[in-house]
Amino acid sequence: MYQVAVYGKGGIGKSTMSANISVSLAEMGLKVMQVGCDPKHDSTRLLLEGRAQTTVLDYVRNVPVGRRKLEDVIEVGTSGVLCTEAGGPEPGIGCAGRGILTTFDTLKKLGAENLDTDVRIYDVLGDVVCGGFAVPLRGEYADGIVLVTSGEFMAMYAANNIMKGLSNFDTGKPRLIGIILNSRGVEGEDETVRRFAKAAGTEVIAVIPRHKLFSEAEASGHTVREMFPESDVAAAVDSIAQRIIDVRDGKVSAVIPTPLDDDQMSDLAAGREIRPGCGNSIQARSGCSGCGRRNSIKETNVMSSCAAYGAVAAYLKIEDVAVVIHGPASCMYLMDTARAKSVLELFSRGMYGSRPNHNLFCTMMDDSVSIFGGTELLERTLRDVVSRGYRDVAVVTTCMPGIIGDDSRAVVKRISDENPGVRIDLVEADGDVAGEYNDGFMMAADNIVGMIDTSIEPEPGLVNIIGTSFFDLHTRAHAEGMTRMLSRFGLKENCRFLDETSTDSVRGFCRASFDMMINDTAGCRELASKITEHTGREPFPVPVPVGLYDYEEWISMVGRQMGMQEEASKEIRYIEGEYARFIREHAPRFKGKRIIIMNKLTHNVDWLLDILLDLGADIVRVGFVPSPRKAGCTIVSRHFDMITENYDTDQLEVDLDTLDPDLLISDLSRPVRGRCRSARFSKIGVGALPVLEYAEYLENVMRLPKDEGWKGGRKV
Amino acid sequence: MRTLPDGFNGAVMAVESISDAMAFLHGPGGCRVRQMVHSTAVFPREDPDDVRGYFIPYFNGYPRVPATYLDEYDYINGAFYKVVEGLDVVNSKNPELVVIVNSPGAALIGDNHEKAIRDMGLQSKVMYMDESLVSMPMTSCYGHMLRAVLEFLEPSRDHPMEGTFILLGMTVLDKDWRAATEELSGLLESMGLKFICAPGAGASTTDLVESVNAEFAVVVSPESCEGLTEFYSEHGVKVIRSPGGAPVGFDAVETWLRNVADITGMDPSSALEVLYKAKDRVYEKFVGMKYNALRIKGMTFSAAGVASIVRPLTEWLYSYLAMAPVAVKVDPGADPQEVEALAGFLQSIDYSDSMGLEPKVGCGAVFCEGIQAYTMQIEGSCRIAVPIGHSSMGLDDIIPRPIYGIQGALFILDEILHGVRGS
Repeated sequence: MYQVAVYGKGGIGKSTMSANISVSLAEMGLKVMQVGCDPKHDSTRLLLEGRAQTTVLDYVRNVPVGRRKLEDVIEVGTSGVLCTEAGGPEPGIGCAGRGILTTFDTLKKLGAENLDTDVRIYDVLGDVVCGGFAVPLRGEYADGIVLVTSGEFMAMYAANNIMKGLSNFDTGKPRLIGIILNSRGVEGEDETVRRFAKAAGTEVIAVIPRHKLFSEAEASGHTVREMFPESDVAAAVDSIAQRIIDVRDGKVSAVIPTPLDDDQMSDLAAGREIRPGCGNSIQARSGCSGCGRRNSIKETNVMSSCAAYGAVAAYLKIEDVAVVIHGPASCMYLMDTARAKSVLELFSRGMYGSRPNHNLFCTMMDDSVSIFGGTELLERTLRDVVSRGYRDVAVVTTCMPGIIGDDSRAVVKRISDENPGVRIDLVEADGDVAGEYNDGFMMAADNIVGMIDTSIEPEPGLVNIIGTSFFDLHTRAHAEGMTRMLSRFGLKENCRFLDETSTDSVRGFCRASFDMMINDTAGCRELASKITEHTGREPFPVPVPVGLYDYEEWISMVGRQMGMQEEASKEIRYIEGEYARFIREHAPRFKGKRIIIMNKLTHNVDWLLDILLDLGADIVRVGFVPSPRKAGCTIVSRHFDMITENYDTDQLEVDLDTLDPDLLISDLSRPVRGRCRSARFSKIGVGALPVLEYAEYLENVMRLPKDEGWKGGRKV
Repeated sequence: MRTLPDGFNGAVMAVESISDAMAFLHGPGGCRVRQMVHSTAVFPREDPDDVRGYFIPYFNGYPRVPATYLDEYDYINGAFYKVVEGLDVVNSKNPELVVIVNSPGAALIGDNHEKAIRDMGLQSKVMYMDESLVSMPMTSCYGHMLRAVLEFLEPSRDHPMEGTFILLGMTVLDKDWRAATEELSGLLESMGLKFICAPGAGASTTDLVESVNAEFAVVVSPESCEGLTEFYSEHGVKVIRSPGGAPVGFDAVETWLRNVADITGMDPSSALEVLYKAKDRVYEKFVGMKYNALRIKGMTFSAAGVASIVRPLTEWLYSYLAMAPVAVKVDPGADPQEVEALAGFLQSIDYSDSMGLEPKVGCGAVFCEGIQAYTMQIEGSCRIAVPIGHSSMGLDDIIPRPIYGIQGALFILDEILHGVRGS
């Protein structure tokens, strides 16, 4: 079977030409199939006596998988030509290019490849505007390409673009059969198109004159080739059909075109001699440095997460918000399993402080929805969620609605208008188009901050905790530690912004008398600044402390804030006593021990450095590993002079060889085996005492085997 | 809403199920993370030390499911350059087979994988799947992908091996799939058959090529080998499918074993003896703790999942433990025969109203995928939660706790017994 794609600018006459060629080929005794690849689905009309046939995409929309049959989308037309039409979405909805991909996929699944045909003609919409419309150019489909153009500049511009597309799908074999000049009566048309063809390394294989026979034939729903087989037009069409057969049979060669660059196109338009080209399209494909196209993944900022997940994660921290993922089931699965695995298991073992929620919904976009738009599904899902009684709903968009351009905003507005009292937030994260996890989290936070009721007056004794991550408090023990710290001053948590909270709690944020950041990370500061912007409240100047010295500072300030300085002093004396006793007892095992700290999370590790120094350890390296997720954040530390920035595993390798460490403390999931003892660097809780527990852990690690015995096991 | 993997996840994991193959994801990093973690968790292959060699582009420190990390620029301009460059990097790790799989977003931009593969001269070991499988049933896409791989490998039945078998319809997403494969294949081997491999559950590319020489293909769960059974039939392998559904629960295991014996002409007695011993052990335990056992009778349960699993499970819980099926739901892609048999069974016991209901709040036990089951348990919506779905949870058991086979029946009974303690 030989396959030919007929391309050209919209309205240039591709469908008319394709239908005529199909009839001509069929009359020459070949079994022919014509595939219309244009959303306006009129390619085969002239082969079916003017009737429109059911398009593949309409069929996909209306008939479920399993009930589909090839014969439902294929009709037999003039001279036995098999006809099928891709169709497409309504204007402004979905993605027509994706429609072409789906059509080919559907026809393949229905067994169209097994149809007994000698030649297939693909009649493809105008310019190569996206990957979808370029599908017929692929080697698996088009053995030959025919371009249709007139002498108008835009028609040749489109033809040139198609040649560029063809070079992107270069199979290594020459495939351009030639150019059909479908005359429009433009002055000097013939010469212009021939100059264009020559410059592009091809030729004009037929000139089709403007002729009233076309309108006569089309008015009756037929081709000129069928109605006026003896006409000059029919003869010209026959010559094209013969050319296709000759190329197929190897009697005539096709060519690999050399599409014109912008300067050459200017020469063509100006009627000047066309200067020699630089093979621009080929360079563009392989990434010429001058046109700003990428060559390598190294030129990108690799994102290992997506904004949609960050937004979903933010909303799921509010127990009574329903989260609707506008996307395919894959997204819900990938996001939910990531969260649930940790949360549910921790909870089921009694380690997690509060009950996780699972108010998660998905619009379940599939391929057909991506073609016809997903707004109907979004609307249906939102109505379902609202009918379940949720008063606060968040919609988060994934890649698919972003790429096909769903107007999610309009749907959200419509459902909101119909349901007064229901708040529906929209986060147009569009997967990773809006960035990665943190970006999505902050987009959601922008909305959530807006829920805070600033008219509420503060009440004494309540405090808000602000943070993007509450790992420090995610065990019962750590949470109880926090409660103890606060209760010493008669304080209670009002709202965790954002963690284990509710819409009531968020709305009542201003009920607290002050707000404290859980830690001093860039994300935490950004979140706090959003709150300040909305409420005018400044966060407490010191974040929730970890380690003795931060704790002392914090407790002094809280004591002053609450007018309880004496209580603060008493606590400091107690903690200092405990700390000093610990140092006395444990320092002998740390004294002089050479320790490397590798910190991938760029969190503040002052608490760790403090206690290790107090225990007499010899800290030989503190390496901070850069992270794309923390791009732009600065390291804040009392021990800044000890820190090596932009540290990486290669440097660690060198250090392990040259610094002879006794212990590596890192958050590497798989530390270097057997070189030295290694300890996990993890969240330890808040306050001063958890630091002592962590130091005991380090002390134990230094007395335990370098590697666990299981590591000597074999692969299954 | 239950959280289920879909066809995209299934396609990636089907490739990852092949011990020496690698899925190369054409998609954003967000689509990669969980799949690389999941693949590593359910089918670990690399030693901890191997990881050091993966701090390179496309792998970014993790050995499984390398990806092109698509971003906004790529959605607009295409990312052909990444496919070409990435293939070179992925190939440097010497997998026997690479399958390029499009993420949901990548399926919309139409990059030409065929050309990339050809440009790199890797036609013999790299294939691609550019169908959009999103929101399609996970199980059927798993089988679909395996069939595509087999067609790519072009195995030839040039030396049929009498008395040999392969297992079909096992996936690496099945809970403790390796233990289940070992047990089921071991039971059949005890009848005198010889096991070749389980396509989709740890078989290598060499195994897959060899698999068409098997005499029998024994189906575990028909949904997960949709398309595959036809492939093997076309190659002359006799497909054996149990009338009892997947071997879940003692009764279905027995039916499964006897059916294989009937068709292959082998003696099932040694395999059945293992089963009967397990049943004896349960009897002994139940007699010894009769108050707990008594608490099970009359308990309501919900079951949701793959039809060929839910059907025998429902039948077994009803007959063996006298539990009441108050909600029974099958996942998308259900095998019609299984659905019909399940509906027929429920009707025969006057529980037809339960068919099609999602796990019910207030029932005694919930059998479904882990997230839903555990969430319901935590919320107090059920007393017992048993994860029977594709591995969303519970990957860290050392004592094998599969769903299939004799071990599977014991696992289910254990979970129920532990749940009724003190109730």
